[in-house]
This record gives sequence, structure tokens and C-alpha cells, in this order.
Amino acid sequence: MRVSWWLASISLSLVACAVACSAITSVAVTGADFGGATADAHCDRRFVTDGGQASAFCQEAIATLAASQFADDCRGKHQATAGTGLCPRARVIAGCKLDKKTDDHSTVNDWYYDVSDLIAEAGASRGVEGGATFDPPVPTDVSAVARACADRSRYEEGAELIPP
Amino acid sequence: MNAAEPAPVIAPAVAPAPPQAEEPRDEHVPSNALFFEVLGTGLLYSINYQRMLDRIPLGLRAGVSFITYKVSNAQGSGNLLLATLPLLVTYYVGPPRHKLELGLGATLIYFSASSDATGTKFEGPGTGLGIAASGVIGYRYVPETRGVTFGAGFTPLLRSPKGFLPWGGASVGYAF
Repeated sequence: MRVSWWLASISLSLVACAVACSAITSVAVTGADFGGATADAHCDRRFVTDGGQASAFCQEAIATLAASQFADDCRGKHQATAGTGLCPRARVIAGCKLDKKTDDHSTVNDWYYDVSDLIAEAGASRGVEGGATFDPPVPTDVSAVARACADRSRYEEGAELIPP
Repeated sequence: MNAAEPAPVIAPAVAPAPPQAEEPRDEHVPSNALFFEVLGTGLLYSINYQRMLDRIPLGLRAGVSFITYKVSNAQGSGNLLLATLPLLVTYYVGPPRHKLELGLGATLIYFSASSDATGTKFEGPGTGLGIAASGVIGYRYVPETRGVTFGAGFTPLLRSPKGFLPWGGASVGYAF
């Protein structure tokens, strides 16, 4: 009886703490955004430094509090090209808007590109250890991007197609 | 005149006015207050000083807040910095201890974006120095002469290009 009472108390406390922490975070993010703390950043995975594996997309974070962290992760984890603002739109086929909830209420989009010109220029086997230059998927039309968006192994929490 | 007769009393035509005390500003509101506000017109927090004017129940309030935060863990990255300076004129109405606080003013906001390991700054539309119009409608407990003062209220802010922020705040401090 006493154990169950304690378990119930602890569970209730954890739930209350989670709700309170979430609310505090949400309020702090809103205030920081009003103060000017949000910015856009992108990580272009098509262009990687030595040792990196290229992909045919660019990921952008819109109105994020963690733009500098996003950029450093882009370089550190993917050896890709980070920058301010949104992803370039030239040669875009379509995009996927991630349904994943972020702590800072930012929006994350992946834009897939027609990389045929890059493959023609660099060759098809310039990836890590002679592998494919671009990690799959390498979509060539909007329906292929739509399939990538719907792939739950790629986007665990789902993604919606963004037309070009 | 007979010495036994009482002297005639000459009444003055106009009775002298009783000594008039200087009209108090508001005997129920201490002149100074120092308080800490969570959220409110300082956005996330602020430390404020308020001085009541002598003749009218108006208070002049100024505050300050400063936050710096390391966004990226990467070596060489720079912190973001957010500083605010809320300025308000407040007016108090209501019973001696429990006041309705009404205020209007402005909040100066300075924001410097964080930078990544290459030194690139990620600046949004609110970077740099800005100003937001602010207001207060709330409750404030006011001690009789000196003591703890506290309050809470609706503290909306308006800023271009961010728009309207329906905001609130709660404060506690010392009035003297």
C-alpha cells in the first residue's frame, strides 16, 4: 500500500515536472524569439569535405534558437557545408517538411536536388571507399521525393512533401 | 473703563485657517521600490527600481536584464547575448494596500547572435538594438511604509517586425 502510494507520488511528480519544464521551455523560447534570438541556418549535404559522404539534399532549420549548434553539427557530424539562411532553391526537385517536434518550435525541411550535373562532373563512384557519390535516395522527380518523405525508416516521426 | 469690567472681545472678521499640512502624494505608497520581475516587460527577467513622484500617484520605473548563453558546444563558438532595459510610467489606483497597477512605457532590447566554430554569426530579424512598446495592467501589494511588495500582471509588448507579444510577469521586492 505504502509502496504504491510512493510510486503514485513519484509518477505524479514526474508528470508535473515534465509539464512544468515543457511550459517553462516554451515560454522562454517565445521570449527569446521576441528578443531576436531565432535565425535560419542550412546544412548542404551535397558538398562535403574529405572523408564525408555526400547526399542529394540540404537541410534547413527555420527560426531556430540553435543555429550555430546546427551549423557546427553539420560540419562535425556530416563534413557538409553549413551556412546562414535557407537552403539554395536552384535545381530543387521538392522537399520534405519534418513532422518532428523541436524544443525551440523551429521548422526543419529537407530539400532534394537534381544532382545529375554533379554526378556527371565528379563520376558515380566518388563516395567513401569508392562507394556511390551520393547516398541514396537520389530522387529524380517529385514522386521519388514523395516516397522519401513517406519513408518511416528515414523520417521516424513522418514528413510531408513540399512541392517545388 | 472700570478695572473690574471685562475687556471687550473683538472677534476677527475671518477666522484664521488652521495650519495646512502639505498635501501628501499618496500616503499609502512608499517612495521607492526595488524588485525582481520574472518575465514581464524585461522579457525573461529584470531587476527594477521604481520612484514615486511627490504630488501625483505616478511611478517612474527602470529595469535591466542581461543574459548570455553558449548555444553551440563546439570549440571557438560564441555566446548569444540578450540585454533589455524596461522603462515604464506606472499609475496606482485602489485601496491602500491592494493596488491596480497601470503602466505604459518602452523596452530597449539588444540582441547579439551566437556564432559557430568558424565565427559565422546567425542573425535573425531581431538582431541588434531594438525597441518595443510595453504596458502593464496588474495587481500590486504595497506595504504601508516599508516592507515586501509583490505583484503580477499582464505585460504585453509590441515590436516591429516581431509583432504583438501577449506576455505576463510576476515580481517581488522591497518598498521603502
